[in-house]
Amino acid sequence: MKRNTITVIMGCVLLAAALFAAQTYAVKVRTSALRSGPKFFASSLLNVKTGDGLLLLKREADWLQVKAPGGQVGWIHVSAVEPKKIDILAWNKSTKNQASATEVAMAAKGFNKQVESSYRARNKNISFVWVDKMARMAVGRAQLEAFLRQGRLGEFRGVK
Amino acid sequence: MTARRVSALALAALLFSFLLTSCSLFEQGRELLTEGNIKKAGQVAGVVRKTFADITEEEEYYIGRSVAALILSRYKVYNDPALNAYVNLLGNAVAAYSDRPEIYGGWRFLVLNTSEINALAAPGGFVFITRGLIRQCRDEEMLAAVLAHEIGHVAAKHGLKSIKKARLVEAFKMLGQEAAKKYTPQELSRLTIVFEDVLGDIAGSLIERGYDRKYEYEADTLSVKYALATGYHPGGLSDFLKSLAAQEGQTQAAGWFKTHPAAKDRLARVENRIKRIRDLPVRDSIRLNRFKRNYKG
Repeated sequence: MKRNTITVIMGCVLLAAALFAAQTYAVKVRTSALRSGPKFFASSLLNVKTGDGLLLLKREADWLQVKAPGGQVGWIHVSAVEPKKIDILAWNKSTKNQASATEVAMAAKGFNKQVESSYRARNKNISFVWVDKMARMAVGRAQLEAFLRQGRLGEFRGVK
Repeated sequence: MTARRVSALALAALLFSFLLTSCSLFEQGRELLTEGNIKKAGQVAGVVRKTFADITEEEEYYIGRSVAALILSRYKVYNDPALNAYVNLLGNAVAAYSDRPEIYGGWRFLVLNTSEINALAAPGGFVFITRGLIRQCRDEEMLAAVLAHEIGHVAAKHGLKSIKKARLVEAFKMLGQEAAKKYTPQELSRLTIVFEDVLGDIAGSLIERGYDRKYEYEADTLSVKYALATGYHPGGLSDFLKSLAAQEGQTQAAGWFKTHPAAKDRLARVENRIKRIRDLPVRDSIRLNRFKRNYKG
């Protein structure tokens, strides 16, 4: 009996320790992906977007192995995320719904699209035509991989 | 069930419920999203945000877009889709091995149609390089080194650091006081004026005055680091600086000559750094040929 009680107490303590030690992150870039390994050209497992919550499993240099609310495990570069407190016990609910009042206030504020529109209305001589064209000049991952492979660069150096 | 077992289970249940409650510490400060709380939270946000580091990724992106528009109001675009595509691939290749491979809206590179030797990087990853600068490059290593220097400025947030502290305090105070949701016309008007001042601080450093010397030296250090991490010989930067040093004093102080420290000083520092690297990558002729194919001069 005494042994059972100790086991239950120990279990609870371990659970609490795990919850307190859990490090959680939120995606801070517009879009990114969880990858199958700690490198850019590892296959993409899950697309993620700004505000998505992730639970840290382990870290290797600048790469984090994380778990998404849906249970998918993958790697993401540290520059795509920021530490964020997330309710682990409500993990199965959408982490988007867990934003605090402060976060919501912050997200709705700041120098955003509305401020840019206002700036553009006041400065009609400043053209955004090429800025918008630049925004559309996205380099695809396959294209970039081919460029690196051809130039024997990055993960493909020394490969003929 | 014995009384002892019941008491043990009760104890365990009590302990467990305590632990669950304590877990809500994760959510300390989280409140219901009422109008009052949002306003209060906004005020808190204004107090919390103090320095350039508190500027969000999304804000940096929108600041960067407008700084890019200001740069493009000074320079014309070199509308050569093949060269711009090549520079974008090269820039993104280096950015992938930088300290900041992921940036809110992605890295973007564009060639400017001027013979002036210059390169400029707006916050948020908008990088510009002039036709005059590309002309100085003899191979992909040199062009990669210059792009790596500019990526270094963005990764280290040198543009955001050039915003005057008083301006940031003013901006954050305003952002903290305004109610959430959409701004009223009056709030938006006041905020837009602060936004214009922020752009003025950054554009002034980028285009007119140049960054503080220590930021230029840091960007050179990062250029060597990123070029090496990508697989380029970091000597591309010293080659480029040698080319600039040979022209210093001969041409009118414009572009990089006006906004950057003397190339000779930078060259000495860069060569010292490269000397300490043991395994230097080989300058592959494949990359040289690729550069010649994409840039006809």
